[in-house]
Amino acid sequence: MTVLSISQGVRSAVQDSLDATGADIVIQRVVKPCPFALVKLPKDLGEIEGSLVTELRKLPEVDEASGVLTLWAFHGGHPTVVAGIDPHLKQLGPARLKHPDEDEQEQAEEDRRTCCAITDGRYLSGGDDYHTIIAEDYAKAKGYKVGQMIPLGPELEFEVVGIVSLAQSARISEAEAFIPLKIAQQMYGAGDVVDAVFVAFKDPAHPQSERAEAIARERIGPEATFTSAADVGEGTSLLAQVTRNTLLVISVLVLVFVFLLILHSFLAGVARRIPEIGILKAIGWSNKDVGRLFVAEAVYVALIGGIAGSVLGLVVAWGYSRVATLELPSALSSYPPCSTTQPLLSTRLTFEPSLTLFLAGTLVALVLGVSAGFAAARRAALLPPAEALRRI
Amino acid sequence: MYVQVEEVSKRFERNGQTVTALDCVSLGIESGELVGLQGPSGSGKSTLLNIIGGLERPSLGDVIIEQRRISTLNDEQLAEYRRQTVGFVFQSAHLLAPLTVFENVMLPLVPDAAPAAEKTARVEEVLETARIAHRATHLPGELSGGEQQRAAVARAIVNRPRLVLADEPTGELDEENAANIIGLLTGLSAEGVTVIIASHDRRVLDVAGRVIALSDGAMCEQ
Repeated sequence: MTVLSISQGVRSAVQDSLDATGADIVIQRVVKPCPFALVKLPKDLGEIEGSLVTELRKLPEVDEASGVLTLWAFHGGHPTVVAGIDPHLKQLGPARLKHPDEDEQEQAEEDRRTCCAITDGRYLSGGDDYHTIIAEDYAKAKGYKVGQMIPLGPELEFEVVGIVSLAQSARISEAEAFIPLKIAQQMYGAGDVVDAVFVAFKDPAHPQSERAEAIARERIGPEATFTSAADVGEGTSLLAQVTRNTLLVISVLVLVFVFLLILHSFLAGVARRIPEIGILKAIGWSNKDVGRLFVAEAVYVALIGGIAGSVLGLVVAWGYSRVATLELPSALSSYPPCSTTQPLLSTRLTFEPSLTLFLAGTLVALVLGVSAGFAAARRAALLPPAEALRRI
Repeated sequence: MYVQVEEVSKRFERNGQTVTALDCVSLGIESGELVGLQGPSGSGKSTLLNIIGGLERPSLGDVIIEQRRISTLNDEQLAEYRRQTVGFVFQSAHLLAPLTVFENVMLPLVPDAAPAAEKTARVEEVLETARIAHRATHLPGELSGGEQQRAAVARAIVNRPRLVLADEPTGELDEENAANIIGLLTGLSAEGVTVIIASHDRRVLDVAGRVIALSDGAMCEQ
């Protein structure tokens, strides 16, 4: 029960990171790191032509596509992670708002905790240029406020128009400051390029990403990488999956061992109660009556034990989710080592009690207990009554 | 109920040796008769009672109860025979410790499909007959030896058996309690129940209409 609950929490946690961007897949180009520059692409990400975004948008299965250019902009010896985003697409990308409508942000308390919301000021708009919205952690670390002019890069200053809370979950392509994409492209100086493309499909349950991936692969080349929920899950929780599978195997072995223990206990119980069985048979109980007694006892014991064990498993899973965190692959977050704030690569596990799991756990206990009970019942039923009475 | 024992022998294998518990015993017991079985330990008294009561099968011979041969009954039929026809009283009462007196006396009725109210009424009736009703809610550990034996008698008769088999029912009782048990058993006999008592106790053998002596598994006198 504990293993399955924690696994469910891991799956939910990694799914949250992709959900937080609104994307079903993220397309990037992985290259060898560039020579050092004051404004550079993060680590080993390469340029992707911005026209790819336009081409992907035209696909009928694509709901929306957004290009993001994430830069490390150095000023005074310190880098700031700056992401150029499309201000018109508030629902897709690393600064996705859960409620894009300004009026809805009044209910932002829950959003701040679980997703993302503007906590002060406003989001970027189409008319902005040297304007920025900054992450809440970055604002606190630097003491920045809305309306303030802040340096982003070697020579440029931007007006802070809003502060955005990006919640506590690890995020893909997160940044400390978000500026209009066109300005980020100017800073980088390579024209209409991005380094990540976020794609949302009309049917997220069946993304049909093959065509989009084919186009991207053709435009980008063999360096193209694609990250979907499954990939994030694989990369992020590879260890968790290995751990989960190992734990499941161990759990199965423990179940087998426990069944043998239960069987031994029930059979020992029959041996202890031989005189009682003799008396019951002497006063007229048939073999079937005696067998039914032991099976009924096994059902009660298994039911109570199963419920108690399932509750205990959930309690342990809850306790684990309170203290454990999950690490995203660092490639999905682009902070340099000496950035002002640190990337939130870790995400909390969510505890999602499942009635199905609870019932399944109880059912497994019931099956094991009743199976052992049947074995004991058979032994009790077949005891010769006179022989049993002689043991008194 | 007429009981006919027809050349019954019982042999056990113990450590590679054959032990003869009963050797060709034949007897007939009339309906309502109170018969004593007398003999030293190991003479086969308990074995004979077990065979008559359907707890054991004879190695040879048969027991015929109301024209039914016990040897032809399978395990389920024997259990039904024990439940509906026979009542057992053991030397040490053998009540189940976790159950109250009421619950112990109810035990033979549990497999029956009769309504619960009917079973409850019957249990209360026999508790009164055995003069143990005032201890119905007590556990066996809270009773004296005599009270436990009276509860055992109540359990034996709750199904209205026509044959009661008692194995040393007064063996652990003092004078007064032994008299109470003997009184209950003779009362049953007076009502037409066939009673067979295996006992060393002279007080029991004195009230028996007939005493059958066993020695080394064989009848030596009646």
